[in-house]
This record gives sequence, structure tokens and C-alpha cells, in this order.
Amino acid sequence: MRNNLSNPPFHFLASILLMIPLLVQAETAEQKGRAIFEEIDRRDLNFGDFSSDQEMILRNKSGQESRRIMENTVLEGGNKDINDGDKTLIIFREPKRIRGTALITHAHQQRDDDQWLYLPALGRVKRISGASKAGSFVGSEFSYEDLAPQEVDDYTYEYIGDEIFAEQDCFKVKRVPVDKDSGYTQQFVWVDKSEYRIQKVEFYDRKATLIKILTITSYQQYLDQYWRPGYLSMINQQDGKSTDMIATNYVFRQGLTEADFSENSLRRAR
Amino acid sequence: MIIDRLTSLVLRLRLPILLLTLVIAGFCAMGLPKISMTTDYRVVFSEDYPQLVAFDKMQETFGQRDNIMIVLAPEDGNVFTARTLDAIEQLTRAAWRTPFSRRVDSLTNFQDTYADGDDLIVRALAEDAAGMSAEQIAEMRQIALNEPLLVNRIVSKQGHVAAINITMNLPPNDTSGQAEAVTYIRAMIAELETNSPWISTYLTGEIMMGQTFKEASDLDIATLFPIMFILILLIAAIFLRSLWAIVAVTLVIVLSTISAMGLSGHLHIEHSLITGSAAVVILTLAVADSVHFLVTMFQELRQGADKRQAIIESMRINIEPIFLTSVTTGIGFLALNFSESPPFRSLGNVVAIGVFFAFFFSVISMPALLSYLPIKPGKSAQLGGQLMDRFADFAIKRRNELIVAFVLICVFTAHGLTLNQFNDAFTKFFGKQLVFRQHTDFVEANLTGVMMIHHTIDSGAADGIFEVDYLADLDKLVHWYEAQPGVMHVESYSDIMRRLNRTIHNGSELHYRTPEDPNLAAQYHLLYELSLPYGLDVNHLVDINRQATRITVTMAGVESNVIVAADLNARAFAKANLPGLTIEEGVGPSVMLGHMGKANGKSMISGAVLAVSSISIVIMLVLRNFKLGMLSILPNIAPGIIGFGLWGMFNGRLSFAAVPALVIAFGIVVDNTVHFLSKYLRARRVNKDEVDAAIHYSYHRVGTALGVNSTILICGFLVLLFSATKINQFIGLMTALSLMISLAITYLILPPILMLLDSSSDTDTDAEPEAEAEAKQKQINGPPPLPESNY
Repeated sequence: MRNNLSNPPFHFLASILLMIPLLVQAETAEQKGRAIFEEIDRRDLNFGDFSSDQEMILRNKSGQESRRIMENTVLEGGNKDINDGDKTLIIFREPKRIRGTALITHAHQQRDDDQWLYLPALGRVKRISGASKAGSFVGSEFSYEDLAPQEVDDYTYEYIGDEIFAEQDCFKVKRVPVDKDSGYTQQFVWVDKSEYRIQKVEFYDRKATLIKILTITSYQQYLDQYWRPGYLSMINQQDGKSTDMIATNYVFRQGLTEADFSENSLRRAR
Repeated sequence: MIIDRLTSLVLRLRLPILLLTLVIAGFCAMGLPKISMTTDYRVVFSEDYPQLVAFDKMQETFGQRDNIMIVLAPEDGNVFTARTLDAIEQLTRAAWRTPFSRRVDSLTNFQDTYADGDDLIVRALAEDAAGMSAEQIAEMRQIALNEPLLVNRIVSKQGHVAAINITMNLPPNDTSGQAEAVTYIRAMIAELETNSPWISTYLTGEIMMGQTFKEASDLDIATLFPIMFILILLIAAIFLRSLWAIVAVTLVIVLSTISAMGLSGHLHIEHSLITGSAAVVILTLAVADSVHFLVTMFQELRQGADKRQAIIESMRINIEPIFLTSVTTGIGFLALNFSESPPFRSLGNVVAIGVFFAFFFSVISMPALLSYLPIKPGKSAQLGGQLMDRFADFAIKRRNELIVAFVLICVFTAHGLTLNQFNDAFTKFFGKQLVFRQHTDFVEANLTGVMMIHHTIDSGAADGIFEVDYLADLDKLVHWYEAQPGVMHVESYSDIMRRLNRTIHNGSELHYRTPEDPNLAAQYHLLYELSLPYGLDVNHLVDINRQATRITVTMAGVESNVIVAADLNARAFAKANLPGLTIEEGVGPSVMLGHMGKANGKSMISGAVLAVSSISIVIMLVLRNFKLGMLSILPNIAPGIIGFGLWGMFNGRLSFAAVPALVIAFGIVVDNTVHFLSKYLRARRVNKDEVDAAIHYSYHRVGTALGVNSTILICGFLVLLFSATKINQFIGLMTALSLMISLAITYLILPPILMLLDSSSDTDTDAEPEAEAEAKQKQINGPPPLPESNY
């Protein structure tokens, strides 16, 4: 027996077997959760810029509806040109009273984001103060926090388990916002295993009760790599309101630069 | 006779009957844990109550308005100190974690706007208040005390008290959620009072009021029942003077009450503040039933009858009147089903069930029980036989004066009736012994009102709220409202727009007015909205279409009449003067309650008519005499008229409980008339007495018993005066008052009326042939058995 054990191939196999539990233990739930979101981030690298048309349909408890239409443009940050977060430009198209109003956001990794709003009726750009991204966005059930491009470091993570959601095999991950101004104490996120796309998010408010459920569908792949959603449904679980968002006309890599997202560029945005 | 056979049967089957009684009571008692006490003030209104439907529609657009308000009063009389602001800031943060909360507004988290170059700064009025300098605090005070959205709502004019207002979002019919929220708030307050002992706190708002519904009825249970039991012991001691009799009475009334309450649990009858009086009323009615039975039985025993004979005799004499009064009382309570307000329907049904059990247990179970008990009569408590004769002589001799006096009193008090007005206030439901009432009174005296009118102000088109005319007219409406009596505060979107316009124009007071370009207004709105932090959006003031806004008018020190009038006047004013907007009907708990008195009165009219006519028909059937049946209506309804007339002269404030109380009192006072008239007719028919002899006979037979019976009922209903709620007090007072008046009418007015209207020729012709035949038959067979007893 001793001979057998010291036999090199057998010895190798035994050490592998002994290491398996160590390997599994090596990755904690926290690490695994974070790893999933790092993978999401990795798969979305180098998209450069993209734009899309967005239509929001707001509904209140009595079923009354209201529409907002806007154009959304994103310039990728964190690359060789921009050593910072993404930059976003939202131009409102409807309702017509706010047509041409444009919102620029410069996301920052270490401090509050910068936001400016151009008011065509005033012909001026107004800077918006910092702690507001958890507030309701244009009266909808989305907050700016829900819509803004996400950074991995915005949250801490914990992998919960695997679950089937919408007939897809998903990771379920709990994430906790780092920002104290966030409107949430925690979120549960379902990410499909095949393409690492967020399928569903449950949001828990500051009193740690479920407030909203977001489901994301109609994903399409662009440039053979980047998945973008066509339909987002946000349903408030506490007051019977909901907002649907339909995103169309995705266009990638239009060659936009930082200049297109500057305070000065706002006046040109129409 | 059927009754004798029934009694023999009861005595023979006494063991099975007692077992059956226990089984029934036991089964019913299992329903007791199913009784749930609602803490939702909305229970007062039925689901399809028009003002409730309108209120819910408003809330579907702008979110729920129910709130908990915490008011802080620092002992130094100034909330603008670093330590108090720090306490408010911490409490505000903790308040966001209140279960089912939706929004928290306070002095510290108010979103102030100011311009800094081209930046629009929107930020909390106080942040890290503990570290604020004296100048910063002085500046903050300056801003806060000039901000219309804050003054008289979140902070007092002189800055001596401040509020934290928590807007709640409770799932419908969830009473546990409400309790959870209140528990959390109370723990939070307890912590504050430990950490900041210089601050006194006061709690008010709809959620606290709902919670007080439960606390008031708990308090009622704790105070009314001991009083009720002392009263029962007193009654038993005075009228029965026998330990075993007291045991029997106590058993019967407790079983009746438990069975009725338990069955209401099985039947899922919704209990609330208003049904809180049901148990006391059932106890009272059950005492009356069983004391009746025992008094007769003791009289028989004293005259030498053995126990069995005494029971049989008491049954023979009492079963019919007890049954009859149970039916009429039951009809009175069942008529409450016509009430617009569901709790009164529940009250009526629970008491009607109790009346049934009290009857059943008094005449079936109690005789069975008594046959086992070594019961001996106490010393005779012969009350007022001579007094009754003197009453009879007086009433007969002075009949003309008495009738004139009665007519005068009726006319005089009928005038008093017209002085009554429906006028209600939720806060006034509760007695001053309740903490909610004390706190709410403090808040009304020092900070703001708790009565609110919410209006949806429609512009007619999407984005219309940004129109120049709309905003200008909205501003005018706010000013108009501010000038109305009792108005403390008007919350309006136009105040936000004025402030934004000023801020964008670098704080120039010249621009402290609504914007004059709709595009600009819409874009200011967007800018402001994008700047607001978590939970402090404007969705509670503006609908999603930007077509309508909400205004909320807060009033203090007024009652519903003023509120209802303000709503009507505002709509008339807007219609005539404000073409830029459409104002919708005012809504809110106080407005709903304001309409409730009249609505309930209207819906109860058919119930009252039905009760009066069906009880009169019952009386006619029992008396077998149409004329006396019709005649009985007068002494039956007069006590209510006189009672409410007196109320009108001395108080005149009718709550929505008024008409139900009238119907309850009616159902109970008819007993007196029924008893008197039945004895009178018996004397006229069977004994062929003349009218005055028949009156003497009636006095003799029932005069004392009526006095005893009425005294028990009056005392029982007066116990309700110790209730913590005005509704129960009112029902108790008016029923007791009506009973007193009714007793006086029966003793003094009914005989003269009979002498006036019941000429001897009529009675004979009116009497039905069967009664005649029966009477003749009895005369042939010998003298009729005239019971020597109360009845």
C-alpha cells in the first residue's frame, strides 16, 4: 500500500482531491458576488459610446398614464482617455414644455457626481447639487441611481445562490450600496449565467422593506458583444405605482468625445 | 296553559337545559378570540360613502395622506438651538425607518433652495446640526420662519415647537401594520426623551387617532366593567337580597354577554370603538330581564309558595312581558342596520343577539338553575305600593293640568330640537383622559391644526399646472383660504414655484411670485425635481401628468360645520373668480365626518320609521287594540323628542351618533308603555273596570315594577357616561334621559290621555271578539287569575 501511495501519478491525484474543499472555500460568498459583477463589467468594456431613445410610461395607482421621451447618450469612462467614471447626456424630448432640456452627468469614483441641467427657456446652465441621485427621476419610479451606469465599487456583494428566473439559470446576488445618500439598504440582483445580463432587481428601501422590483427584458446584442435591454419594468410594491421604460435605436461608437459632454456642449444640445 | 307546560318541561329537563346552556355559551365563547378590534378610523364610513370614494381617488393620485405627527417642545421655548436641532435631525433619520412610512418632513430635512452663482443649490435646512454655529442657526431660523411651507405646519410662528411629520403608506385593512408603526414611534420617542430630557413630545395624526380607537375601547373595558359589576351587585342587593340570587343573575348576564360577543366573533361582525358599548348594554338588558323574573319569584316565596310553584308563577307572569320587551328592544337595535355608518350596524346586531340570549337564558336557563339552588327570599323590599296609589289619584285628579303641561313641554322642547345641529370632530370623539386628546389639544394650541381639507386642483390638460393662469389662480386660492376662519396653513405647489422663481433670480424678492412663462415653470420644476434627495420628491403634490396639484388646508379649533362650509365656499369662490383652474370637492377624514351626521340621519330615517311602525304593530297585536296601539306612539316618541329638545337647548351639537341614539332609546322606552297599557286593557276587558279604576289597577300592578325596571336600565346606561368616548357617553346619556322622561310620561301623562281618549263605549266595541269571548269564558269559569305581582 505504501508503495502505491508514493506512486507519483497517484500522489498527484490524491493532492488534487484534498485541495478541492480548499478551492471551494477559497472563494467566499462576498468574493463570488463581486466576481460576478466584475465579469459583467469586463464584458462591457470598450464599448466607447452609445446612444438610445428612451420612452418612459408612468402609471399611478388609479391607472392614469403619463409619458416622458428622451435621448440618452453615454461615453465610456475608466479608459486611457478618461481616468474617471462614465459621462451621460440626457436630452428631454417630451413633454414639450421641457423639450430641449438637457442633463449632463459626470460620474466620479471617489466623490459625488457632477450634474448640470440646461434650461432652454432660461438659456442658462444650472449646476445641480450632489445628494439628489436617490430622488424620483422626472416623477417616475426610477431614481437617477437606478438608471445611471454602475461601477463595481458602488456596492459590496454577497452571492446568495443559483435560481431559475424567467426560464434562465441565474446567479442571485445581494448587493449593498456604499453611498450613504443611496435610497436603498440592499438589493437582490438576478444575473443570467450564460451572458451575464441583469434580469431582475429587488430594491429595499431605508426601512429595509421591499419597495420596488425591476425586471429587464428584450435584451439585444450589439457589435457582437454588448447586450442592451429593450424593456425595463419598475413596479413599486408599496404604493401601486409603476414605470415602464422602452429603449430603442441603440447606436454604438459614434466617435463622441468629452467635449460632447461638457457644460458648454449643453447649449448646443437640441 | 302553554307557559305552564313549558315551565314544567324546563324543570323536568333542568339538567339537560343547564348542560345545553353551557354548551351554547361555550361554543359562542370560542368566537371571542376571533373578535378583532379595528384601529382604522375609516371603519366609520361605508365602502361606497361618496366622500370616502373621492378621498381614495385623491390618494390614488397623490399617495396616502394618513400621518403620524411628532411635535417637539423644548423647555427653553426655542427649537433653534444646536442641541434641539440635533435631536430633530436624529429623530428625522430614525423616522425614515418607521414601518410603512413613505415620507418624513421636518425642520431639518426641509429642502431649502438658494442660488450660488449659476448653481441652484437644493439642500436640507440643517445638516450636522450639532456643529452649527450661532450665525448659521440664526440664518436658518430666518429662512424657516419665513417659509410658508413650514410655518404653522412644521414649526410654530414664534419657533417654540417643531414637528416631524411622517406620511404613512399602510396596506388597506392592515391593523397590525399600524400597531407596528406606533410601537416603533413610541420606542423612538422614549429614546429621545432619555437622550434629550429638555424636550417634551406630543403625538397626533390619523394613525395615532386610529390607534386611540383601540386604546379608548381597552380603557372602556377596564373602567366600565368594574362599575357595571358594582352596579349589578347594588341592584341585586337592593331588589333581591339573596346571595344565591346574585349568583344566578351574575351567571345569566355573564353568559348572555359572552355568548353574544362570542357569536359576533364567529359571525365576523366588525368591532370598533362604537361597538365598545355593546357589552355594557347587553349586561344592562340582561340584568333587567333576570331581576324581573326573580322579583316575582321572591314575592311568591314570601307568600308561602314553594320554590317550584314560585318559579311556575313567575314564568307565567313574566314570560310574555320579557318576550315582548325583548322583541321591541331587539327591533330598535336591528333598525341600526339602516345606518350609513357600519359600526352602528355592528352595534345593533351584536346587541340584538345579546337581547336574544338574555331572554333565552333568563326564562329558560335561570329557572332550571334556580331549581337547584337553596334559594330563600331576603327581607321584603316592598317599595311604594302606596306611592303608586297616590300617583294614580294625582294623575286622575289633575289630568287636565297635566295634559296642558305636557303639551307645553312638548312644544317648548320641540323648539329646542331645532337648535340642534350636526357638528362633529374626530378629535372630540375622545375624552380628555386619553393621551391622544391631550396631545392633539396641545398641538392645536401651539403649532397647527389636525383637521384638513384636501383639494385636487385640475388644470384641464397635461402639463397644464405650468400655465401662467393656473399658477396665478392657485396662488389666489391659497390667499383666499388663508383668510378663512380657523385656517392655520395651506400647503400648495404654488409656494414651491414662487420660491424657485425667486431662487433662480438670485433671491430677488421681486420674483417671489409664480413664473410667467409655462416653459420656464416646467423647466424649473424639472431642475428642482432632479435636485431633491431620496423620498422628498414632489409626487405628493403633483400628479404624474402634471395636470393637477393637491392643496391641503389645515384648520384648527373648528368643527365639521366650519370645515364643510369652507369647502363649499372655496368651490364657489373658485368657480366665480378663478378661470385658470378647476377645484374638486374637498376630501379628508374631517370633511367625511362633516357630512356623516346628515348622511347617517338620512339613512336612519327609514330605519326609524320602520322601527316605530313595526313596534307599534307589535303593540297592537299584543294589545289586540288598534286605537291604543296608535295611541302608544305618542308616549313612545315623546321621550326622544323631549330629550333631544333639551339637548338642543343645553348643547345642540349632534354627532353622527345622534340619530342611532334616538332609535336605540326608542326601542327601549317602549317597554314602559307596553307594560302599562297591557295591564290597563286587562282591567278594562277582564274586570270590566271603568277607566279610572283600570288606571288604579295598572298602577298597582306595574307601577312599582316599571320604576324598578327603569331604574336598572337608567343606571346601566348611565354607566356609559364613564366611557372614554363621546359617542358612548352620548348614547348612554340620551337613552337614560329618554327612560326618565318616559317613566314620567307613563306615570303622569298616559293616564290622563287614556281618560281623555278612551271613553268606555269605545273600548268595548274596539275589543276584538276573541278577547271578549275569552273574557266571558273566564268569567263563567270563575274569577280570572289576577297575579299578585309586579306584572
